[in-house]
Amino acid sequence: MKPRIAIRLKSTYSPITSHSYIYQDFLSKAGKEEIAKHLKNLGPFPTYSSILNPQHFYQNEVLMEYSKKGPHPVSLRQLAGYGNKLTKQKIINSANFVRIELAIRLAMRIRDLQTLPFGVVNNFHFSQIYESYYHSFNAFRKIPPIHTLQDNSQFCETLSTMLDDHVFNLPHLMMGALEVSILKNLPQNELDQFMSTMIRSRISRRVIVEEHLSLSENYRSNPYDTKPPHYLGEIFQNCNAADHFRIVADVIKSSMIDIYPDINKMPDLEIEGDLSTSFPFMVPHLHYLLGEILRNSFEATIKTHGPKTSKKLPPITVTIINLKREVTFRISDRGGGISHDQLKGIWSFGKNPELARKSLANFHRIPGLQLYSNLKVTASGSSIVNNPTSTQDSAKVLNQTSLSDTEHSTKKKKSTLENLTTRPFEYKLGLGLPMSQIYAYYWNGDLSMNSLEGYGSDTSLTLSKLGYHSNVTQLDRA
Amino acid sequence: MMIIRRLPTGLVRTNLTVSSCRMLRKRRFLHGSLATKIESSIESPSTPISGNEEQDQQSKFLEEYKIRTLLERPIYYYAEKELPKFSIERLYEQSHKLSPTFILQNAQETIEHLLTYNARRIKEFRNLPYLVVLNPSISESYSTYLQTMSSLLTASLNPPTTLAENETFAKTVLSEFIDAHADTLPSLSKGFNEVFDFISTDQITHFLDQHLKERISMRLIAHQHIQLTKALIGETPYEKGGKYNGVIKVLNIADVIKKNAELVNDILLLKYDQTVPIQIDTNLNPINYWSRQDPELMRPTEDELRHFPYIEYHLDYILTELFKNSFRSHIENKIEDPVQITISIATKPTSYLELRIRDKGKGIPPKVMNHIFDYSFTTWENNEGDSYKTLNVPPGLGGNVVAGMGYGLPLSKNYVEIFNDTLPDEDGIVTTKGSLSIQTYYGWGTDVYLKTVGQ
Repeated sequence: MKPRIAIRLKSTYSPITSHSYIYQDFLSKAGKEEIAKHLKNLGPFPTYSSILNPQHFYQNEVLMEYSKKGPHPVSLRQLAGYGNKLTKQKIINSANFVRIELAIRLAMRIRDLQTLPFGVVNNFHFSQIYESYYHSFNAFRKIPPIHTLQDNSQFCETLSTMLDDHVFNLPHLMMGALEVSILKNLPQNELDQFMSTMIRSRISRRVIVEEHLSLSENYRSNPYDTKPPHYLGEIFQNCNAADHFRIVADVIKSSMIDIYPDINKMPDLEIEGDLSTSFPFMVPHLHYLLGEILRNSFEATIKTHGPKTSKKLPPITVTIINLKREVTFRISDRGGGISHDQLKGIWSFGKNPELARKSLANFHRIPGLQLYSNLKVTASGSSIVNNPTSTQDSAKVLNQTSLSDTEHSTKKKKSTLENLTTRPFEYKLGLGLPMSQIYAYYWNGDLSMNSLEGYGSDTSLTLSKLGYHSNVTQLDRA
Repeated sequence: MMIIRRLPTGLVRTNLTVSSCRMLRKRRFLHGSLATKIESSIESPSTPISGNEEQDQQSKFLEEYKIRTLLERPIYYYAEKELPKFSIERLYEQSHKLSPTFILQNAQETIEHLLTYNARRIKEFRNLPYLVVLNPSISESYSTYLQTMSSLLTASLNPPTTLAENETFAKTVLSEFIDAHADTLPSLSKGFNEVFDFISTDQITHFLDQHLKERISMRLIAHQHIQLTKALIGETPYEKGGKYNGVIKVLNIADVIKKNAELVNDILLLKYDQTVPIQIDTNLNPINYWSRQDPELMRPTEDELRHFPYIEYHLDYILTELFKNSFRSHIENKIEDPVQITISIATKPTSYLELRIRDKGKGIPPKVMNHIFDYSFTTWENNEGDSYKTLNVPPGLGGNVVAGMGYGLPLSKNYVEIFNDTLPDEDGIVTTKGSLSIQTYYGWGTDVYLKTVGQ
């Protein structure tokens, strides 16, 4: 007889509900007492922080030096291997390039944070981000120049850990954006600008790092390997558009079972246009983009038609338009469309307070969310990078959402499909479209949406074919 | 057979084992997340359900989140309230109405007004760039405001209801408020000097202008209440229904001048081992001396020529600053003549006080004159000549807290102009109630004109 085991399904029980965020009366006696007691928390030096203290301002001189240097704009091809054959020197050059570039780029983003109003960066989440970035900057700039392959191995370990560390940052960036938009202490367009710069820089840093990691790995396993002339790197794979659409659609369908159990009645994906279209792209990014778009379409269709009919739901049509230098996808659904007012606001990170609170409630319920940065410092105060084991947890956390899927693309890291599969529908964070737009723009593409209110929506996604642009300086969005 | 049942309480019963979970996951019969959770719970049956710990963490986070979001709201709320109308009339009115009931009402109003000013200051600090507020000197100032806001909020929960409570209130909360903010200026000055790389000059000027003006208003409101309280309990002379129960008192102007000249001379003695003499003259002939009316009846008394109602500590500050400048120019240029101060006062039919401070200290160079009322940091940037530096940033004048900052002239100007109307009246005229202006004769000396009205 197999033992019966009782477990708690975390997703259905949490002390946090959407009712947890009703405005407390701050003018009441209790309100004022609480406030008077805690008002000093609005000060600049939180007790839990190791970096934010009175000396920080003066120690910041070092960062000013770095931020004055410009970032080195690079092209993908440069990154991918400096030509056909990998040599030891190329690896070492690449390592030193990464070392210096990242310090400069981190410094520039920290400067961005430093110029925002105090009231904004003082937000709990943004100040965590500030600390995390500063911590990485400090750790990075202290790495000595790399001379041997042994140095490079060590360096790759550190890089890998840092990638994991920064997985922590993305939810805090988003939660901070939500809180700031509730308080309205930054105008919406400035908030959007800030978020795109941060995320874009993040994408570019990670691509630089992952390219180097894959390069090192390749050299280690096949030192005499030659690559074809248009080689873009391990992290780029040749993707057949239609195939990937189908893969992603399947994943989304399974995640929707909770709200619409009959998977067979879910909308079909009808693909038309040039079905043979193939292009090189980063699979995790592609899946993220397609995933967010399809998720919206599926959700809308299910919610609009599901309760009204027991027949098969209207299909979602994907049109693939293959041009020489780019490829465009039109995803049309009959999910009821959205109003013009809503359409205007969907690309922004600043939500109205109602929506922002709902998203925050969902964020706060993500199990295992790391709330405080566990940044380690030595006795004298210099930052050190965490050892790998403790950061596996933070990486696992985001398996519940789609946020981690774009983080790990090399073979060393987990593949992303599993992460997408396991995202339960209810962790709706509300920032999928603004994020997708940043990814699309990052790769010189475009993402836009049109809608027929009452009928359905059409999303248009354009992606550049990277092969044609591989000589263009691509990663200059530092 | 696989059994998974979700109970109403949120618990799930299953007969699965770890390996069967994994197999089912592979075959896509089990949600990934569900599988992970079941697996991890089964694999470690001895560890307590981690759900509890997580819920604790989530509860704690929610509590902290609630408090955090609560904190900024009173700041926005109070900062948006209207500032009280500021005028000499109002101060007189309060003195006139002074009574045991009135003082309690005034206490409540004072708290509300101070909360408004305090919140505005905090909001402005929070608008400065992040790195600027990380500067320790500036954050010190900011923290002081957080502190006083806290204490004011607590006070607003229990406003005084008796005279005794009011006395305590005035002597603790209000006095602490004034003391806490007395020394913020040197910190601010040091701080802004250090951050001018990270913020534009315009931003600093705008911030300081507002900050200093509102600071004067805040302190005036607090002082007024303290004065009224003291009068009511008999610590200072009280005249029921009179005009001079509050901060405005009838001052012997000549005496005030002499007092401040002595103060500055004490400091100069320490530094330069010299003092500077002064000579006071007043209008000997009354304004309507030549009128046809009987001169006996119209001639103002000695008293009237020398007395004028004003706020003593404001006048003290302004005179000290102006004397510092004039006296120093005499010493540095080795002039032995006295500094001449002329007083012209009238109380009927209009009321005014006009002072002219005339020195022979060789005047101010034209380039410096353009920046005479700017805050000190601009001099460092522009590298103006030494005479300007000594004018605004006197070296080593210890003993006076405000010395050495370069805020003397702009702040004096703010003090005397605090009662100027900002809105035009029915005739479209914006009335000037106070002004400070400087006329220099480069190569010879400088005249400073200080004017204010009595109502």
